[in-house]
Amino acid sequence: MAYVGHVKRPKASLSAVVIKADGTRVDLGTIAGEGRNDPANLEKGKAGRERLDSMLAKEKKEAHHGG
Amino acid sequence: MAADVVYVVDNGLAITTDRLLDSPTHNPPKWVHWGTGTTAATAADTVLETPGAEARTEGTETQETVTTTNDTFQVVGTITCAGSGKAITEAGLFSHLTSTTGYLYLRATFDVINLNVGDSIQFTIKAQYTNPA
Repeated sequence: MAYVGHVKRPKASLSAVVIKADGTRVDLGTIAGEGRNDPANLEKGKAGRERLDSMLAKEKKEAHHGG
Repeated sequence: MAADVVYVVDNGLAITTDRLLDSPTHNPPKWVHWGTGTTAATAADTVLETPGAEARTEGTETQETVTTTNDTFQVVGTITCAGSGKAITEAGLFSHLTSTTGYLYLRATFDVINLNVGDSIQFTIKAQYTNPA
């Protein structure tokens, strides 16, 4: 039987890797869409964001002290 | 905090069917952009809420396999933060380098990613086409 009246959008996802100005890569995993809430992805995202926050705090401190 | 949402928007469906024509009017939706808007993505979106000043980046588009051979359209593109630091909370995929309304294929919103000048984000964006189930 053909499908009638059922519209389904493509399943979409967005992953992100932050590349710092010095070339350091920080993988945030899937940040929206399919796979976002998988436990392994949440763990990867949390670790990535903690690492990124640490880098930003260090950069802020260095900027405050004139590099 | 922005909601973690991603949609192939209504206009993205139109771009998809246009691309099936003999002479499509749209280019492939391969230009990646980002912004600082925090209103959750919806299917009705036609533009980014607060697009960044950086130019869109032409990503690399490929067919990928998630469930069925070549069922997924993927674009990988990188944008670099210029001018001043930014709190990135949205991203979009367009079928044109500069045009806005009518050219958005996909919009996503997500938790803030704070960047300093010179930092980049490499986005990998996927849209998997499946049969209704």
